[in-house]
Amino acid sequence: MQTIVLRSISKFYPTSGVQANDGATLCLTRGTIHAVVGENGAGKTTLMRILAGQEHPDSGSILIDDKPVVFKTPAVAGQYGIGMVHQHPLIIPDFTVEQNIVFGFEPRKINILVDEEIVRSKVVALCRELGFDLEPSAPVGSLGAGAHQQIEILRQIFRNREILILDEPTSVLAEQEIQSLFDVLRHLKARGFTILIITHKPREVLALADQITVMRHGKTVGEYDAGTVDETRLARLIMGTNLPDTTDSIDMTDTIGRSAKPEELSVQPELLNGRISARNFYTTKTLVTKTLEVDRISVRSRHSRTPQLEDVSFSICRGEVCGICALSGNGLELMEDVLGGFERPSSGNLRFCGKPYPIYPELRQPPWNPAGIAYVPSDRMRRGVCDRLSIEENFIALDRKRFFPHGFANRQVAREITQSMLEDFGVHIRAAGPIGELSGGTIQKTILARELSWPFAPLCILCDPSAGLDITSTDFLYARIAKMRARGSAIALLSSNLDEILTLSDRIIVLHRGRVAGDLQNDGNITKEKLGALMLGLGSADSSVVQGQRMSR
Amino acid sequence: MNFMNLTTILTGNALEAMTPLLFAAMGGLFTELSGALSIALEGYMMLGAFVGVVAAASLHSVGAGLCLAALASAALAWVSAKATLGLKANIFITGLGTNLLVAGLLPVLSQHFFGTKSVLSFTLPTLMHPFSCTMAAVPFLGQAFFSHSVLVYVSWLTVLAAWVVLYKTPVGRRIRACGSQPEALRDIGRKPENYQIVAAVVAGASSGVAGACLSLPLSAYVPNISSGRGWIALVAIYLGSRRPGWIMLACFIFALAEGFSNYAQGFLQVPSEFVLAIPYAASLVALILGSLSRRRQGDWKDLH
Amino acid sequence: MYRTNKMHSAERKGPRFIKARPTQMTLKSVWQRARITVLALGASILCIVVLLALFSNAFVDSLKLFFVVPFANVYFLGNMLSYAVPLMVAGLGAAFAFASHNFNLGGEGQVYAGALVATVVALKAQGQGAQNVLIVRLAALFVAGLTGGLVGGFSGMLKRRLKVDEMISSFLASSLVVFVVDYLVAGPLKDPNSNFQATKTLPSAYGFAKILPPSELSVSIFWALLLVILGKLVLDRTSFGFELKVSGANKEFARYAGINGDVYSVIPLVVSGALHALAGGVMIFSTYLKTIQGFSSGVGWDAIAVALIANNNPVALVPSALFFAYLDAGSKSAMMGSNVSTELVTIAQALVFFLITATTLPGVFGVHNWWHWGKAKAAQGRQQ
Repeated sequence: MQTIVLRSISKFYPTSGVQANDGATLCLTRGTIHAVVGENGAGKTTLMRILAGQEHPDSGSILIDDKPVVFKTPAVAGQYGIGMVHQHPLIIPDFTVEQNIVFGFEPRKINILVDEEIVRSKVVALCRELGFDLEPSAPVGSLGAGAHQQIEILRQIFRNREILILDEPTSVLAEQEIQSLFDVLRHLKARGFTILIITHKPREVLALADQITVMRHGKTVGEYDAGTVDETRLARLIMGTNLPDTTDSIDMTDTIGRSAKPEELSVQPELLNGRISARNFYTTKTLVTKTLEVDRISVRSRHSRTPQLEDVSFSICRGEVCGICALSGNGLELMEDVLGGFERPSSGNLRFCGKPYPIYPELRQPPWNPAGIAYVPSDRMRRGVCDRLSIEENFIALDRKRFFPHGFANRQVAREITQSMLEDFGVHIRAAGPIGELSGGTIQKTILARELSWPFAPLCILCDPSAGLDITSTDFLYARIAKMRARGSAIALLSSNLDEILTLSDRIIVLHRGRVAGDLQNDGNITKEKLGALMLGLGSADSSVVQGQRMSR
Repeated sequence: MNFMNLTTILTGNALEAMTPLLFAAMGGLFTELSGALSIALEGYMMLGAFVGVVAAASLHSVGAGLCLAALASAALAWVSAKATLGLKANIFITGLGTNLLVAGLLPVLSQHFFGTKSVLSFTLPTLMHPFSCTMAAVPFLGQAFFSHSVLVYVSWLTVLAAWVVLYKTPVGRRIRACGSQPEALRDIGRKPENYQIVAAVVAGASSGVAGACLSLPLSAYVPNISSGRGWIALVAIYLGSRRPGWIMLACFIFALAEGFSNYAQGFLQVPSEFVLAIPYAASLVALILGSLSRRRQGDWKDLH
Repeated sequence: MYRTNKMHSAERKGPRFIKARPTQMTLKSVWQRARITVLALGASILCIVVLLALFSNAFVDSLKLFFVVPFANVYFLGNMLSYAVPLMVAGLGAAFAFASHNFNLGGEGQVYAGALVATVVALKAQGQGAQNVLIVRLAALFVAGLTGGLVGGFSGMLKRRLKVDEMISSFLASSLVVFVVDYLVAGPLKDPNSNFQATKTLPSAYGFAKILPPSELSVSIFWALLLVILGKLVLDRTSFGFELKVSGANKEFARYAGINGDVYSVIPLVVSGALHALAGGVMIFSTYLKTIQGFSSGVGWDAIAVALIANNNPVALVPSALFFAYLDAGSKSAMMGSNVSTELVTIAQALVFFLITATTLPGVFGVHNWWHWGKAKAAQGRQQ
């Protein structure tokens, strides 16, 4: 039997302290489409990187046709026919399409020069066969993410790699592009290729795969034939039974107006069909004063090809959590940059508590000030901390006025305040140490501690706040968000994690190609599919139509 | 002096002066494209100038002088690049270090072997002027284009060679990929560092030849003969948007400026210090003008 | 995560002159840093010994001349300490620039220009018959600092407005300045009564008081130490210094934290230029009392080396400057006593440049940490 087996693969990353793979296995049959599914952080990408030869497992073995092999470099894996189509394609910006496709394996004439004619003919033939509409001499800089992915696929096929690994290929594609990608993959399978697709979307899996491997927390939950599972069972397998148990860790005794009984706050989100709702999560209602007003802003980013923002309007009230979601490249990043004060909208108005929003060169106030804005960036390592500074200096940096009274540093005060903020968030580290020594997860918790500590900021911009956090920390974070909301903070939650959006948001805004595709109240009737449809540009932008529908299986 | 004569003389001078700039700039282009820009071009040039004449004099052959000049500078470049990449050091500081090394080493060697730190004069076989017999008689064009030494024509071929290598060969493409997407090289099982070292060696060899081009026609080594041409080459790379053809144009403009200033010195009684300063001034002005024309309203993503 | 970092690199269009500046200039661990520093300094000393062996015709004598004579008597010792003074001041300027991740390669020209300006101001004051020496010195140094600040600020403004790389622009600008000063000293400002290419000499009363005759050492060393302490205070304890360091270390985070990064493209270069020019003026008033063509050649590069060794820590500038002053004094005494030329020190300095920014130590035969290797081998042996 023609198989490739990954057996008992374990991989631990010391720098981030994460056990990415823990005895994971995978059994791949040639000539099939095999899906590897799991939530973010389940270890799918690591396992595939090991298969592709880009990482070395700490233990375990790879067997090809029952013979153990070791992949020292990706090139060795390539010789066995394994090629990886990365989630972020390794496109060389200055080259053309055909130059990218044949990179590294250019056919030669006179042994030194590239044979352009052969290149052109082969590329054209490949494009025609797979139905890709690519112009071989076009510079890649002007093309979108979908085209980049096609180039990567062609690149692997050109290198005669018959086992293709695709890492989250649909994350940057629109709906029609996804369908045509699936057609291409089926065509390749018919030609004898083996396809491994990594994804966290169950519906896609079932549309495409012959076999499914489910992973969770670095382990393999099981391997199933596509005919034996349906979406419900698959979703259960992916999520597992670890519902967050939040009864112990929330202290809501200072909720405005009432002392909350613990049972009222225990969250039992229904995971079937992704029907989670903020109605189950919060016990207080929102107030009506507007903290943040976004009024028809447009952003023309001069350098980027990704869609700019066009005519976006919404507002967030005191004590309201507004979730904003979109597919990658549809304007969410720019939205974050605008709200974070990095990008100035070319038209439109932004108001914070009635006053103009602080965008560079006006500077935002630190989160502990009464007119401050808390901002947890999604690119935490680059934007949220400075790794040359110590931990307390990362706190000091936000509020020089307070920590440098009369121009000179007051280290003692800074240390005490930093320490207390960290304790408050449950981060037990010394404030004076260099931040470079902390693990990735701890750094994220430090940033959260800095931004979300008492006194709470009136406006809070959270971007993918729970990415990289473990379950307990995520619970703590959600409880803190609930507390801030109860205290009257307005929270903008920008995230690609739809569960998070559905759990926490009072309102949900969906962006598609830089425009508002949906502005919905999260009243328990929104499902992940509905949001996904809006994110892909399907479905009505008219929120009242969406609200009125009853979603049933 | 009528206009045609003037143009002829100026063009001819410019083409001569352009030669070392072209060699150095082409070498530097490789390092810039590989993502590890070498700012030690000045040092390589000085070394090449020294080794060029000394070797040519001892071996009685201009060709040997050129080869050894290229070899010496290439060796220095190799050591420098290996050290920088192996120690993971800051490439600009090590580039400065290379410049200082050469600046310190050459007077010491000169003193030790020749007993003086100032001008070293030799008798060398004259350089070949391949077209001067046949075509130099052509009025105006002959003097401007065909009366030069072989080095000038080789430098033009170098531009062509650089273009061919960078755009038409797999190696050149990999060097270019090294600067913009080194992961793509790792993906095919190569190390980007190796290509950066190759680029550095090319820069060394090329700049060494550039230096020899300065000293061989004079049959003498003059201390500080390069006087900033290595830095001008860097500016030329920038102004030429990293493309060989445009870099050649930039070098030509610089050479024109230099040629004109030489001419003006005799004519306009400009102090000699100012004449020496012209290359630096010209490159500063060119840098400013080039940046002005490229100016975009920077958004925050343009942060270095 | 929805944010893809790759978008940044794909979006940059057009050539930037010097791309992706390697940001790693210092190591995180103090211990590693100390090892690299010792390695660099040790290698430079070793290099000098080797060069002396190769090129000197009296090896042992020149060794003694180089390494011992600077301490031999008050004259040599004092002169050595005296040369450390401009190195400290200019080194502070270089450290300031590096701390904000700017490369000021224009030190040579700034020192030279500062020296000339100080001389000219003092000469003018002398011509006016000014009596108060202190005021004259202060005014001269102040104007010198201003000039240096302007030259540095020129590069800074080019960087801020036109994104011209300050490394190249400062180098080119300062080379121009050197030529201008050369011309002035040999031409319009030349002392007609002297055979040297130099300006008129200032009266010795204008100079700093000497504290260790017969050497050149003057009270300027105390001013330099004070300046260094002031620099440390500013960099480490004031919000200005803090913001400067942060905007140099991570521009994006600086913006996130609300620091106006544009300002810190310019101001560090202004300060750096001013300090270099001040160093030049101090050289005039403590030793030379006139501007001789090319007298300050090398101070700018020395200052960069001093700042690199000191890892931009102002207090560490003092021993670092002393080290380089020692090397310089040694080379001068060796030159006087034997046939060795002063460029040996330049070669040793080049070695320092190569090694000092290393972030990994060179492994010996592929083993980077012999201590760990030994322990691992012992553990292996015990197992078997």
